[in-house]
Amino acid sequence: MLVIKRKRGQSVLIGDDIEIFISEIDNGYVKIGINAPKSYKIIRKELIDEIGKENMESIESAGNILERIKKG
Amino acid sequence: MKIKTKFFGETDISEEDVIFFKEGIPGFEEYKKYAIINIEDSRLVCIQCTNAEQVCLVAASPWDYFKTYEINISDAEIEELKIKVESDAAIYNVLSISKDKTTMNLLAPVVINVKEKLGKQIIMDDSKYSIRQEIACL
Repeated sequence: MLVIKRKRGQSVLIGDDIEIFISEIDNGYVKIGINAPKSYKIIRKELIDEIGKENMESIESAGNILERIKKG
Repeated sequence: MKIKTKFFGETDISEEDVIFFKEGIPGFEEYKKYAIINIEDSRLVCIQCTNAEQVCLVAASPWDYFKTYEINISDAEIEELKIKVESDAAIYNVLSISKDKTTMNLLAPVVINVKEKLGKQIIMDDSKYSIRQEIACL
């Protein structure tokens, strides 16, 4: 992994069409701005993990759901 | 072709009914092929992996429960799924039970191109919807 030190107001460029801009640094939080073509989907990583967890929960509770339907 | 299912034993499905998820689904990235199996006497379906019996999610159409639900799907995703007209797409949202509450994942609908047999669980990051929206009854 490439690690680069940046200050507020500075940017990094990835390839020709992605810019990541450090907008604010405050109390452990970094606010970043991302300029990228619309075709790139930008998602907070923990959200994918959470959806993965929810999918696992669905699999675990599938039997329960089917039983509930039978009961009506 | 015959597949093993979690709840319906060995089931015969047409090879044309196998839906390909290029990236799998979150949590199950290594499983790419699924079949949609209707659950008798209900509005629900099983999204059953065709080569892993245990991988079976229960889902339903969001509009059966949330009439005004809206999906925001990006142009890139429409292109990836080769969706040309709205009727190409079938939408299912995953259900689960936790702490005795039944919930539906409205944030990440499963979008399937029924013509091209391509599927993807879309994540609507900036949406107002919840991963665990409670529903009153199935």
